[in-house]
This record gives sequence, structure tokens and C-alpha cells, in this order.
Amino acid sequence: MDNQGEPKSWQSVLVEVGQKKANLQKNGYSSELEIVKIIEEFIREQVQSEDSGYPTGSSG
Amino acid sequence: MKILVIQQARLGDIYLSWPTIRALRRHYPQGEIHVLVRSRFSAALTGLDAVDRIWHFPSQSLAESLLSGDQGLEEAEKCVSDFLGQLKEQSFDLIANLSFSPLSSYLTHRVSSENSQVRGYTRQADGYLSLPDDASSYFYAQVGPGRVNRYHLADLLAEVAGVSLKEEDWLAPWSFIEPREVLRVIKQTPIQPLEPYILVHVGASEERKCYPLSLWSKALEILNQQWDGQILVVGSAEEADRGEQLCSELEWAYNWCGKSSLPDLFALSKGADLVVGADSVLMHIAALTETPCLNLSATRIVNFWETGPRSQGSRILLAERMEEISPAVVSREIQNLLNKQPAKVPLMERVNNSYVGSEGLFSCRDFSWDLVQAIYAGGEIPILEDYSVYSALGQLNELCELALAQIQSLGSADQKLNLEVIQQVDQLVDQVARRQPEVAPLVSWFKTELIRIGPASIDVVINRTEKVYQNFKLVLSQYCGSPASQLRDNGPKAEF
Repeated sequence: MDNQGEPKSWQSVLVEVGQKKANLQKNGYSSELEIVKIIEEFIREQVQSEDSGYPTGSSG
Repeated sequence: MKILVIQQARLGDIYLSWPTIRALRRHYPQGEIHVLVRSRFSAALTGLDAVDRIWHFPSQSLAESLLSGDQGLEEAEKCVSDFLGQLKEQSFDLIANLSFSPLSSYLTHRVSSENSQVRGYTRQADGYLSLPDDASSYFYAQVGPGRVNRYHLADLLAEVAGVSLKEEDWLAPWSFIEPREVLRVIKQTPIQPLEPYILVHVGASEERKCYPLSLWSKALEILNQQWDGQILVVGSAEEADRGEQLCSELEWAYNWCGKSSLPDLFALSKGADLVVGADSVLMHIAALTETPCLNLSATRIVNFWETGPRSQGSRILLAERMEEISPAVVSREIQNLLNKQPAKVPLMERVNNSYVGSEGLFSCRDFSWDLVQAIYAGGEIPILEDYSVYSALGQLNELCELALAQIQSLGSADQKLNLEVIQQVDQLVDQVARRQPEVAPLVSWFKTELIRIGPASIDVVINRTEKVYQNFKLVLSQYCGSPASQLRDNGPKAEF
């Protein structure tokens, strides 16, 4: 839920993650930045999966 | 020896990884093999005795944290950090990332320790992509729909993991396919046991890979009229409506979508005379049960060389789009396979562990593929047949020479200009590949070699970059500046 009690969307979460990533990137690559990038890629896969109706992956 | 296999893709990819994981067990009989998968697909590891421990990526916890609460991101960060910390504590000796996604590359880097041998996509210390082994760099450069690769994904996974496959790596678990189990599973379905049947998968891993339901209906209706065997339609629970719609108008066709577990699909595949479907997990299960398949494949979205059926005698019907595959042809080819008759249309066939095109299909000789084999596997440099390709190679050669001149001038007063020129060369090389797709694999190889340079001191980076360009020029020199003997006699003559 966001501040207004509305369910969050993947897009809004992606924006939030992107902002954090941008802040961390100012200090170069770090352990914390890597975690945020992992989360960002996880979200991208979720969004891609929802768009296609199927989970992501190469085959099967 | 502690080994981690990372397989973050879907069910079919996990089954395609079975032979590699078994080969790892053979190579390291005393080793401890861990596998990291997405929990949603971990059922695909059931029956794989070579695995000692399964780790589930915490997708659900992550999703719940991220989509709820003000502190969602912080909770997600802690969740990921804690989970990967547990993996890192294992201090794996070997990590094989058999997924090829950005996410998996970050995971691989995160869980590897100083002494880990890493194979597959990972990250450099600065976060850029790292391709530590030749197989991964090949995958990055040449694999995927629309590209020229002709190595099967199962074999590529083994290369990435650094193992070689044997026939025994391809067997299904005996407990899934022994005759009494097959009979038990069949008896749960509506079909008559001990009577012939085919297995039809109406779905696929993605919507766009599915054969349209209306065409399935026509194909099976024709088949129903000409063959008195049984048709068992299988798929996931989400595909149950498709199955129901299809079977409602057919005699001897039964909808079993969503009613069988993955182990049951092994039994049903083993008992079937044929498995029919698009690019899906069932094709890969059939490879393990050695059941021939008729695979429907849309060349615009699937590279059948990479993910086609492996079982001997399987056939692949090809078209650019699924809608273009005629239902009459599907029905006829099902019958030809069942009756062990030759195909009546051009198609690909699995013969002796490779795909062979039937007469009338496109030639399996292909300049781009031959070039790929020359670059990666020491094959013969292919002869040019097309002057436009020669022209593109000539342009690449000139660009390469220009870049080398700039690299060799780096350190001079015009360093900034040198770098700008190199960047423009980079863009122009891409343009040549876009205009002349036959040279795209060569450009892709070259670009991937640049990626592999990795972070280092400026002098080392310059030296490595120069080496990559020199190797590029070496390949190009086979065509450029060499006698017209590289062109077929009846083609235009090159001017030197």
C-alpha cells in the first residue's frame, strides 16, 4: 500500500527503486547498490511476466 | 567440492538442465550439488537424484514486501541480503549460472566468494557484466530467437558448466516411467489403458508460442476422422479452458489439463506413441522419456535449433507464425509419424542427435552459421557467395583499421579526439551489421570480446582493446585484401 492506502503497482515500485539506485550510484558500485539492482531486475521480470501472461525465461 | 547451479528460468529450462546437473554429479561424485531455482518452478527438480539441496529464491516474500507498506523496499533489501548471505556462507567451490538474465548475473556475483570458480553470467567488481568463460560469451553473442546459433540449449548449458554429456544423462527417473507406474497414471485419466494414444499440449510457455485453438480444433478433427487412436490433451490448470473447448467437439479426445503433476507427465509421455505441441516443457520431458514429438514452431519467436525436441525421430513443422501452420498438415504429419512414414512436407527431423532438413526445406548451409563455426570452433572460413556481404566486410575492415590507428595514437595530444573516433567507429560497425545481417554474428562476436575486457588499468584496457581489434581484423583479412578466389567464380569480382 502507498501513503494513501492504495495498493502499490510494480511501476510505482520500480520508480522508487530507481530513485534509490540513482542515489547510491553517486558513490560508485557497492554492496548496497548491488542489492538494489537485484531487486530492480526482479521487478522487471515480474512486469515482463505480467505483460506476457507468462513467467519469463528462455523456453518451456 | 561444493557446487551451486543457478537456474532461474522456467520449467522447460530446468528440465534442459537435468543432463548438465547429472554430468556434474558424474564429474564430482563426492561433491555436494546445490541448485537455486524460483520456488514456483522447483517442482521440476522432483526426481533428480543428483541434487543434494534446493534453494528457493524468495520471490513471494520479495513481492509481498515491495507491494505493501512504506518500508517495503527496506524489507525487500533485508530479505535479499539475508537470503544471499546464507548462500555466500556456503563458500561454493564452483558456481554455474545456467540462466542468462541480468538478475541471475547479479545473484551469481553476490554469492560467489574469493575461491569460487564461476561459470556463466556474473558481474565484474564495478557491476558491469562479466562473461568469464567462452561458452557464456558465445551464448551472449549468438543465442536467441532471430540469431544464427544451431547448438541446442541443453548442450550449451553443459558447456557453460564445463562438463560433457553422455547418453545416460538424458534418462527419466525410473520410478516415473516404469511400466506399472505408467499404467497407474494412465488409469487415472479417461483414456483406455493399453490402447494407443497421443499426448497433445495445447499451451506453451508464452501466449505467442501457442498454436491457435481454432487450428488445433481443425487439426484434431481431421485426425479424429482418419485415425481411431485416443487423444489426451494436457496442459496447466490455466490451460484447462482451452483443453475443454478443444475436446468438447471431438470423439476420443479427452481434456486432462491441470490434472497431472509433472511426474505424471513423464508417465503419460512414456506411454504415448507421440507427443504433439509447441515450444513447451512437454517437449523437454519427452526428450527424457525418449518419446518422439511433432513440434510446431514459429521461427519468428523460437529458434528450434536451441529448444527443439531432442528425442530421436521427432519432427518440427516450421512457419514464420503459428497461424501459418496448416491444420491439415499437422494431422497428416501426426499420422505419418505414427505410421513411421516419411514426411510429406518440408520439415526438420531429429536424426542421430542432430536436426536434418527434409528435401525441399531451406538449405542447412548458411554463410553466417558457417562463419560462426569458423570463429568459435575452428571450422573452415566459408566462401562468400554474395557481393553485398563482401562489401559489408570491406566496410568493417576499413572501420577496424581506423579504430586501430586511433588506439595506437592514444596517449598523444589528441586523445579526446581518438576516443571520439573510436566511439563513432563503434556505432558505424553496428550500422553495417544492421544493414547486412549476414555479418551480424561476426560483429556480435567482436562486441562481446570487447565486453570481456573488464576493468583494469588504462594501459591494460588499451592493450586488450587493441588485441580484440587485431583479432577482428584477422578474421576480416580472410576476405578483404585477399584474391577473388574467396568469391564464387560466377559472382562479381572484387576490386583490390
